[in-house]
Amino acid sequence: MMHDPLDSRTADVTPAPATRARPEAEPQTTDREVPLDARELPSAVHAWLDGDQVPSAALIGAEREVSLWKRIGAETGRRSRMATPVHVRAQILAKLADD
Amino acid sequence: MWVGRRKQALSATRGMDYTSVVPLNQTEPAPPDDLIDADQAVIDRVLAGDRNAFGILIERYSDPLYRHAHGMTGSADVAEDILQVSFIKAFHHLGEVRGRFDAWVFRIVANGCKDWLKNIRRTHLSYEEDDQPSSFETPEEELDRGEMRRDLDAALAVLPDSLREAFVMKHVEGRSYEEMAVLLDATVGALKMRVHRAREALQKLLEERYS
Repeated sequence: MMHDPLDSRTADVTPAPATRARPEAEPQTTDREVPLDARELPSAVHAWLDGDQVPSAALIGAEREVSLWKRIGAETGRRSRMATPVHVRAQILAKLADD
Repeated sequence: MWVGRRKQALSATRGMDYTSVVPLNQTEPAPPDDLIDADQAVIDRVLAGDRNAFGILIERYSDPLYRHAHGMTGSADVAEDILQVSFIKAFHHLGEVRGRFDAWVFRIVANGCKDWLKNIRRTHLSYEEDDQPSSFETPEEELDRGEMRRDLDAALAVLPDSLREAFVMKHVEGRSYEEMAVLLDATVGALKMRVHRAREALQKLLEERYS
């Protein structure tokens, strides 16, 4: 008979694992633990992206990153100018009137 | 314009070149106290029976909320639906507002986005063509813009929700860390960490193609 580890009828004949990590030692699954493939950015680049005044000299050696983030910035800037389509506001008000 | 003059002045006085390193984004200030009072006055009118006054709040806050929903879901249609449901919910619970209306309604929209993200099976997500006017002048620039839009969308979709949320609030909605802290009930330090992690993940995802 196949053993089903989720079947309680077979639970009492199944030996427990010899060793098991204590529950408190197991990592919790949160966003912080999600493995992300990332590449560290220089702190000067982060400061620049945060809108801080950063002298050009601080970004020497990070030209590739700055170039990429200027392109990303062009796209995020476009998105930051997006407006709610006019019909959405009208639809909300119409639905409220129907209530 | 003022920022540019200020940078030039800084460069002149300190002998350093600030002019070539324009900060990527400028942050929007939090609503002033008089706007918060004005919101409360509108809420009082709505609660007194003037339903149409609710349109003032929709007009005042729909754009940043739409941008948030669009940034989080990657879909104009979904963002519209979330906005509609959220404002209708806000209308029906308007009597429960304590404090800032904009922060309260933001949480409704943000929760709507998170619920949608939980429910959707994100095997494929494509951003639809939008009807925003293009500011690019040549076909090459237009093509490049389209590629970056798609690639950024795909990269954002890979991020955990909390990192995407922080990145969108910082770089699309242009909020300060302090404002984000109020809206998300988190510390400035934690939010900086999330934005930094999001940037570093995006850097890794996009650098091969664009660097």
